[in-house]
Amino acid sequence: MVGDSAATDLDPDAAQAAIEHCYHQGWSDGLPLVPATRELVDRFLAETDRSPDEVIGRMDNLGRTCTVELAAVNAAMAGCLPAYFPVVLAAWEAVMRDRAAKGGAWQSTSGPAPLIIVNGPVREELGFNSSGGAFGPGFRPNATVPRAIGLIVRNAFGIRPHELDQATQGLPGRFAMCFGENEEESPWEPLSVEMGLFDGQSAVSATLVRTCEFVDNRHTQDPEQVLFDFADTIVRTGSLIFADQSCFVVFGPEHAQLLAGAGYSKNDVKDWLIAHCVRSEADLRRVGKDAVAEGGLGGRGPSAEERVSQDTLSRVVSTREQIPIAVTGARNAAMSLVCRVFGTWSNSSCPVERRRRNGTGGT
Amino acid sequence: MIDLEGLASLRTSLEADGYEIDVEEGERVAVVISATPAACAECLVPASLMVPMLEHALKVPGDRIDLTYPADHEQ
Amino acid sequence: MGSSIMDPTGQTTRAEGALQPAIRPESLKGMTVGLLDNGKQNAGRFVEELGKVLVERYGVGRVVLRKKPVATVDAPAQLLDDLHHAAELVVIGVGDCGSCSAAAIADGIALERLGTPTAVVCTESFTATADAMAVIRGAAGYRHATVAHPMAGLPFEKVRARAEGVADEVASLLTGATVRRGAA
Repeated sequence: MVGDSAATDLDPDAAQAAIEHCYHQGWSDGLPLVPATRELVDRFLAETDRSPDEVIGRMDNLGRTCTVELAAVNAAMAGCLPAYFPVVLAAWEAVMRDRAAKGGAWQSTSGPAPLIIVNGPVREELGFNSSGGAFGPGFRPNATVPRAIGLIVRNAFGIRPHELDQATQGLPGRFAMCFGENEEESPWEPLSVEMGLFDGQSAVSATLVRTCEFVDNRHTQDPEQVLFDFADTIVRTGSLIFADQSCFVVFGPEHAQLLAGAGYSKNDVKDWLIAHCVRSEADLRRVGKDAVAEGGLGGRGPSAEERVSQDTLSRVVSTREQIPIAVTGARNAAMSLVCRVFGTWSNSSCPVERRRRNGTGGT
Repeated sequence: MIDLEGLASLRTSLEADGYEIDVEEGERVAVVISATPAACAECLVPASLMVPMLEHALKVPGDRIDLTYPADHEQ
Repeated sequence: MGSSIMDPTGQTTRAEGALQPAIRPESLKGMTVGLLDNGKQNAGRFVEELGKVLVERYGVGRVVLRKKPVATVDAPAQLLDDLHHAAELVVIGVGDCGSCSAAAIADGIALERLGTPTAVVCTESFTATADAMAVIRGAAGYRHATVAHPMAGLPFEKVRARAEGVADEVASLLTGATVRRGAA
């Protein structure tokens, strides 16, 4: 595409005026938008069999809906190529499967961000980065697919900062987190396969997260020591607000291979973390969160009979579903990320459905 | 052709807050909003909101309007 | 000229009449009316006096008063949600400058979308601003009540007189089915 026209044939003045128009309309997330024309949007719509009028999201309290066509306009403005559109639709569906996304998440003071994971051949076909620097920047699909989700929320739902979006601080990388799973260097089955889709099926999984914290452990080859380092991050008291916690552990290939090499399956890792992610009553009381263990928000209260002993341990995560695992990044250092899930992830993956050309089927 | 009645009523609003509006229509519509000494700084809507307001009042599409705003209100 | 740029909001084509106004009661008798003081000078006094007139003249059951933290921008969602739950009807005042009139109209429309009939009061100087804001928020023709400009700096008796003068208009905005000017 780039290079089709000599740069001298282009009209930068017209492009700048069109970009400024989009800013003036209040459509932008702060960065320049690609002005979407009917012709460009039609090329997006040509990539899917779904009807332009199909409603794919609604915010009843705001009286707003999102149709396939509106999603296409926003995806075009976000800088997606038309071929990305089926991935945007799958990502949108995956995000909206998160219960919180249908409720108040977009208006929450927590300002959560979608974390989007792409599996299958579509990664290579469209150029999703699954290896070094998978969280960005530098790769068009990784950057523009989550941006499209953010623009849909802003424009189709009309949820904007300082208006309906009440984020206290928001979070770095909001509407910018999308990576391909490094299936080639992961010792485990892809996330989408774990969720029941067949191997080789392109798919998108997503959940809303509150932050990502790194675990850098290049210090030991002992799998338990490495896992204790993850557990320490997961049980950080600052992020404990409810009894049920959920963390998306995004392993770098080195950590994943070290654990798999020591015989750990994904479920073994999850079970180990469930057993070892615990916090003592004394720790929780010190930060005024001793009632968190019971599902409350504050302290248990001062009376002696309400107190439990200082060394009582409370679990921070209790089920495998609360610790989804994916693998991404380069195999050049033992680093990983713990992404703090905002609500409850849907524990599912959405297939990428491309247009069935000439009625010959395929996905 | 801009809507003069719309301009007049928008001018009433702006003047109440101490602002003047000048409009010059050629191929594009140049709108200059300037502060008088009596202007109330916080009373002026942000430029991003003024463009759609001008669109509505003048009956001119926003992409034909060139708005010049008091410097501290550009956003 | 090139082709036109598409709107990503889905609102432009149906901006006229997009707002479904909240369902109005037949009368104000016994109703709980929320008074939103936008924080402008005299606005608190004005809405309180207006509340008293509505009680005296229309049998309003009780009023609840809330204050907006910043007059010139939209009210926080929590505040509107609180008013929506605390009151059956809401009166917002006073839009007596460009930005605060625009914000008051935006708050009124947001409350209508939540299902609470709302009457916004602006000074007559800001009719253009208020009407434009309604269009921008997808509620072309959303009506508001007007009082003489200015409001700030008036002595109490005049504030009371403004409240008495506009009460009937406010009451009619809060009741009955008609909340728009003849379909724009």
